Amino acid sequence: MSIVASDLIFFSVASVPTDDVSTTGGAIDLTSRVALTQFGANAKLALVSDGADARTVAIVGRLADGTVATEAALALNGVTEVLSVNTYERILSITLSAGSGTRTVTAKQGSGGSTVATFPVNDIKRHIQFQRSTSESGTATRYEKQFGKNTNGANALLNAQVTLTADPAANIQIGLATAVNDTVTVANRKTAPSSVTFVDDGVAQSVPGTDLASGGTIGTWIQQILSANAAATRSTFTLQFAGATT
Amino acid sequence: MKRSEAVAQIRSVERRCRGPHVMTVAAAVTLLAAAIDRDRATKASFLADKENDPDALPAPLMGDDHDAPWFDEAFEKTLLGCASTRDVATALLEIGQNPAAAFVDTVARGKGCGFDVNALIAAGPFNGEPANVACPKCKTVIRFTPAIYEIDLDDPQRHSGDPGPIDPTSEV
Repeated sequence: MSIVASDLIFFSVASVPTDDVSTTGGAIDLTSRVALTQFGANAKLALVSDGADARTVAIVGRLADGTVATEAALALNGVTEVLSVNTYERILSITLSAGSGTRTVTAKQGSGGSTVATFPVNDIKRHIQFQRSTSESGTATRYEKQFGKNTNGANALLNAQVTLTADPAANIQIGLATAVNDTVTVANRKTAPSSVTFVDDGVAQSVPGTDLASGGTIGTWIQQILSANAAATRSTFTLQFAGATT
Repeated sequence: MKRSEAVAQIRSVERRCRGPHVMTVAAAVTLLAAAIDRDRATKASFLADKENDPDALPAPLMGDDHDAPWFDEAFEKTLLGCASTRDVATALLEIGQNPAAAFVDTVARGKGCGFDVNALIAAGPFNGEPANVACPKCKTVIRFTPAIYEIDLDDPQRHSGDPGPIDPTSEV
């Protein structure tokens, strides 16, 4: 069966740092994705499942005053919406206590608001990258990782490419691993992964070997460069994972 | 390591410029001629030819070879002044030649500049420092950060900015 867009998914990795000293990267984590739409205004996080569901949810976010707050175990109530206690300026991560083979959970900006994340079956976590990263007196460069995976069960993605297509803050470059299906880790997010060349949104990068086999993954390192004493930002970047199919 | 080994590793990931499609003026004229003579150079076959071999363009169909009176000497001069293929499409739109403009725009959007960015990366030092370089073909400024490769000091291909191997006996 031909590959369709929904077969091409970016997943997160085993080690997602929230500081500058923890291990970064590693193998693909098929239960986690860097896919979290930020709020348009300060709001409580609303969570709802599509059926009986008693899992708990851990929320990490910034409050209006900038402090980071955690709600460790907000209990889902099936198809009845539940609200976070805190009102957040931004969400850093949402983590379900366990995967479910049947239930889909939706996270929204406030009660009945717009969807900021959807957890399909077996998914556990949504998060942003470069959490709690700050500018410094000199240029601060950090590296985190994602994986593009061709989840089609039969077909290779032909002429596979990964491209940074949007970077409004102009502080992101991306670099592909020099081999597919890697598990490379770096000591911390301020350590550059070896042999990885980074480019901006003006360049399309092809996956090593040109085609990405069924089930294949391509490690994609994200480089964030914050200039000296840069002002605070809450921005986004967009990756495109594309190719041809038969 | 040898610089050639580092370059091979860089080239394991193909990188192409996404800037606007740019053609030589002769190619732009040829493209347009092909666009307005679908019987002799259909869109599909023309694109296929371009994909397989950008230099293998169909012969220009100028003057008496086609019946497009608006494609005169003055308009050809306009085309020669276009900076990119998209500008060619814009020029066509401005004179109301919408089908030809759409065809040219398709070529421009579908292909992009396509310059080999690895050639730019390989020409510079492998020092891990961010660089801004204008694409030689479309002039789009490309930002990149090469990986750090420690190149052998006796490598004749060594760039003056390449880091050398770390001496394990030196003190820091």
